[in-house]
Amino acid sequence: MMKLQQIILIDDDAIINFVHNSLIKSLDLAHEVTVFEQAKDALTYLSASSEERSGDTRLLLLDINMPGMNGWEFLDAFISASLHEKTGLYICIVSSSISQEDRKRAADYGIVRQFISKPLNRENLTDLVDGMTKNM
Amino acid sequence: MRAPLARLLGLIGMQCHRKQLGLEEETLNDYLYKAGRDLDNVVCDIIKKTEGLDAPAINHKPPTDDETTTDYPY
Repeated sequence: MMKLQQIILIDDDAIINFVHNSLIKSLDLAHEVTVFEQAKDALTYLSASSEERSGDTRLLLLDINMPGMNGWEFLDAFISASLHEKTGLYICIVSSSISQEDRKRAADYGIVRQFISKPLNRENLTDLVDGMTKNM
Repeated sequence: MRAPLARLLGLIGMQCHRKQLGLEEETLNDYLYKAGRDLDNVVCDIIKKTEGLDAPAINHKPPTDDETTTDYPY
């Protein structure tokens, strides 16, 4: 399996970030893991690094329910700033939500490639990266 | 609402690979305990919110003096 350049985690839940970060490292899926507990900080980071990293294979794992800027608001701002074209990020929502409405809303964005229910485990994470690299 | 459960499941999944991940047992246990407490809070909230919903009407009367004290036979 191809190793990704970077996996970005956006989740306000520190324990979930700990679990997901450990899992990614144990499976050796990425050269770099970057964690944001606030979506707004991630947006600033992505705006600043979009051009220099545009050729990198990068995966973004995004939570929905967060205080401050939530996942939907992040996606709206991401699209408004044309960051999808600039960054070429593969976006996957990772949420504890099991609502069909949320799944449909995510699919309607067009730029969201997958929706996975938390928590990530070895199987669904490996499948995600495998599917992502095969489609590249 | 599912967040604490997702947290708990994620941590349990890590138990098997704890040594490989280089994690201290104590750290993981602390997180597990915290996640369990969070889940308990959610369950308690649900119980409070659903108390009385669709339940048969119960005529709550204040207890009489005789009912407020229970004498055990020991």
